[in-house]
Amino acid sequence: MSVPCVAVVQFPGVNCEAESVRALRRAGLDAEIFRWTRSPGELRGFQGYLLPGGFSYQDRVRAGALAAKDPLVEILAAEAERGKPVLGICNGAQVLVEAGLVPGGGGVELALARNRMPDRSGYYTRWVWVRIEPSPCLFTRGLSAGTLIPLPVAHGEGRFTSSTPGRMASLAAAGQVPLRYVAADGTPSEAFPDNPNGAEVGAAAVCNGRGNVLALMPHPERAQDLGGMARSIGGPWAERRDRALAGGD
Amino acid sequence: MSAFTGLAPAYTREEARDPAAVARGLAVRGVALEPDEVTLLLELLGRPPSWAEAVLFGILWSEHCSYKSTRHLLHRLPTRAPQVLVGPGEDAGVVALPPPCEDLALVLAHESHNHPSQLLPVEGAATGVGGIVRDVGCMGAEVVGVLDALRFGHPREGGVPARDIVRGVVQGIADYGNALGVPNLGGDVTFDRRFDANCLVNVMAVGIAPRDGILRSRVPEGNGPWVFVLVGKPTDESGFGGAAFASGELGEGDQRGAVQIPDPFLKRVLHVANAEVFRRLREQGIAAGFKDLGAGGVACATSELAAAGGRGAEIALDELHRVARPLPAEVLLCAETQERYCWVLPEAFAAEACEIYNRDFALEVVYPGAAARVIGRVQEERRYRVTWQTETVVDCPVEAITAGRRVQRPARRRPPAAALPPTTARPDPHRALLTLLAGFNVGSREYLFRHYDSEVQGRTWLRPGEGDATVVRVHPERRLGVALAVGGNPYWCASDPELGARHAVAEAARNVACVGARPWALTDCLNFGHPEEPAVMGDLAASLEGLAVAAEALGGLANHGEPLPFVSGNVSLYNQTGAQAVPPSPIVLCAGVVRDVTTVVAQSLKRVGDFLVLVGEPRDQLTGSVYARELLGLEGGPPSLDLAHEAALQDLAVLAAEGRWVTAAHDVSDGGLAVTLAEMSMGGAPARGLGIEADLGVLETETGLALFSERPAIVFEVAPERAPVFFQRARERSLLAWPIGTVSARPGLRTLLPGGESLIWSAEELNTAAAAALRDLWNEVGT
Repeated sequence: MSVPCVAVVQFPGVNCEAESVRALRRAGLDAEIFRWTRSPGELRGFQGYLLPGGFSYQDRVRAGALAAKDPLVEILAAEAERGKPVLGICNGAQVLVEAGLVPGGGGVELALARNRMPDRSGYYTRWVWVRIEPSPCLFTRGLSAGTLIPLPVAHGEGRFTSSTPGRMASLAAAGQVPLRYVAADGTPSEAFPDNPNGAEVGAAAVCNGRGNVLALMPHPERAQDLGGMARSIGGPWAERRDRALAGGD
Repeated sequence: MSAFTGLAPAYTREEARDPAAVARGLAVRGVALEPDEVTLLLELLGRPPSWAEAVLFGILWSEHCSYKSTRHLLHRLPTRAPQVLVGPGEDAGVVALPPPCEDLALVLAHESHNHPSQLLPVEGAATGVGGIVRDVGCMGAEVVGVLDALRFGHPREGGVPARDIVRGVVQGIADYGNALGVPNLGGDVTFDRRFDANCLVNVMAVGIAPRDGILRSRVPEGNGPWVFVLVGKPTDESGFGGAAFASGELGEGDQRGAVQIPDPFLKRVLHVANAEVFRRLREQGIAAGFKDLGAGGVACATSELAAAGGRGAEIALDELHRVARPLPAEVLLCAETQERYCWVLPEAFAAEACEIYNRDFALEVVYPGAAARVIGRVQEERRYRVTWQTETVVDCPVEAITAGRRVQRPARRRPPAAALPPTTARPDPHRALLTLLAGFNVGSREYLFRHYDSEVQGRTWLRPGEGDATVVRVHPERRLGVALAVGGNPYWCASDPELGARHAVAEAARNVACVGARPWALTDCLNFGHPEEPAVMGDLAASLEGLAVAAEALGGLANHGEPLPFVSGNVSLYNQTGAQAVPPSPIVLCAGVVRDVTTVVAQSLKRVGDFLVLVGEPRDQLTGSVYARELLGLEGGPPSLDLAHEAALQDLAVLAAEGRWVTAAHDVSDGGLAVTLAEMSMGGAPARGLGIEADLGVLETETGLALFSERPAIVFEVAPERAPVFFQRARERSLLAWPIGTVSARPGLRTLLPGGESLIWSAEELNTAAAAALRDLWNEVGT
């Protein structure tokens, strides 16, 4: 079986496609940038899909709103229906939420609203802690629940919320919130900056019921090298990094 | 010249008998020609100029484009060294990189966008970033970082306008850089009343290009035939007269038309499409010229491409893709519509290139009217001609374009700075440190730079706030890194422009050395007042002298015995309102190279029990310190600087990092040793339960000097088992090295003073003070 190939879908205005392709290849997959002007049908030939971060279609109307109506996303929806994995990172997550692919099955139910932060507004960049939650999510299958991971976030609209009160809590209960913002010691935290945007139930990501479509706000493609991890990260990860740096890798 | 019968000239020979009157008349219509230039243009053309020619030469000869008051002075700066591939003169400087990246080159550019940012902070700052990334992009490089050095008025005494400029400029830089997908890699910011009416927004960009794939801003050798291909936004009237606007005092009246309109979304698509054209050119071995459209729009770009290649040009304005509304020829020719590039391509390849932009990247869909179009041809005859409908609107010898202009300006050197008056006043040191940290000029910059994405592209190794410089990896699979830091203290340059400029270079290079990188190249921007004032020109000449002397002394870590070369730069004059000029502000970027990023040294403490060692000049002067200025109300000139000693200090810092003897390093600058130790104990330390236990008795000087003297020095964290070799290497370089404490298991800063008493600052106390100034600035409303 040849190595599965992932299409990194390049809507105009995305800007994380290069490092996303690199990360996929380092994970042992093949990956290719799929430019939005290619004929949509060619998209079906791929085994998986990644919607990278950036400002697709200039965030016109709302972040991800126009891309969600792009013919390519219709094909992504069909391929996701057939079980193929679809990962949306940051702006990509906004596209999946605007297209209703996440939480899936019921039209557009969620929104990634403007960050809610004390004493500041707009774009915010920081490394935060996320914890893996029990979930059918395909992308976190290799990680046991409770695992703590430091990841960088950088966005202006990352607050998972819903017009239906309690919807986010019900998704969490159903295991569709596979990553949650937590404090450095792993305990749930609503406090800024542990939760950088005020997302309900501290959601850093939401997946569909089947777990093959994930809308993820943090940027794992920017955390490929232990040595480049933020210096503010302490604990076992810091020791792991210091050992790696001393060994020169 | 029959072609001109249809068009009335800008002025006739008769009118030109009174050049001053002609100049005044032209100025009313936004054309900045000085009286002697009115006469010169008549001679160069041999006939009265058309309106388009008057506008073109008004821009070409503006201070902004021609550097007429300063070009002959800039020769003082050292620009040659073995690593320099392209020195000043092109849109950006290019330097070679050492193994394992000899196949790659580092591209650096530095510009100012001061006037536009004072007028329209968001658009002015955004188009500053937009312009500087084009300067690097047009060398065939991928843009991998931007930095911004900012000087603002005082947020409280300058009132709401000053605060709005700060918030607008930061938003403009964030909106543009974040959308373009270029990480912000730091910079600096200073607040002072003298910038109330004239803020400074210096922007810098860094790029990586294949060493054998660098594109030049000229028609290549060979006879092509060559065509000009204009790519990007449809031409409109925005920014018309931008160069002239930057070359005069900010006037009353409504000059907002001269500020350009940013579009990072279109720019992102352009940069991705450019990369595809670069790939095909290199794959097929096709020669090409490439230039961004900045000041003077199509006119300056096409004339400079032709002139630099020693050829002529024929440009047809009718071919420009433009907005529907009718525009006069001179506006189409010289407007500074943003997000545009100009190629010089072999005619045979032009169609394929346009297909990449128009079909593969569907520019028209991305931005209505955007496109890539052939707009003219290169001519062997050395004439620069522009046609519009049936008229020839510009027809002049290429030499006229490159003739350049020089204006001798009288200069008067400033008397040496008055020494700091002796004083025994010593406010309580505990409260003094907290007051300094809570001030606008020493407090934490974290609130500001968290608006910026510093991680996109996944190359970032050391982020803003984590070390004395930022570090990015040049190639994802190789360990070589580039470190970046800026320098330039306006207070020191105001009291002594020559010594202040030396410190600007020394500080930028020292910051780079602190993280373990070898200072490799410099860029600069000289921000000054009106050149017509002898005092301003005197300050400028003194600053150039200081920059040159320091650069000549600090290049040894790259190449023994060589200077640290200035490879790119900019001069921004007329930063003055009435009699109030900005303080002399040479702002310097230093780029350094670290062979293995795993040796990079951050600021935050690592291990309990490690020693803290201060290396550098003794703590014996308070002159020029923030402590003297803000707490004692005294100024004085900058602290003294021994360049040979500075070079030895930087050599030790780099050697110590490469040898892995030190695990943290931070230089002593604004606020002195007290602020340095506070910042080292604040960074990542509290999260790791670490703090500082210092004992300053070893410095054998009184508390005020020990804590707040700003003489150049570096504090290193050294593991006990490495201390002997570290002290030995310091002695070999005749550097004074004082063990001033250890890393403790208690967060915060505790200091035993020379007098025997001890001071304690908790981590919370330090963090709260440091975070206050910028958070309040962003949240204050009213008054």
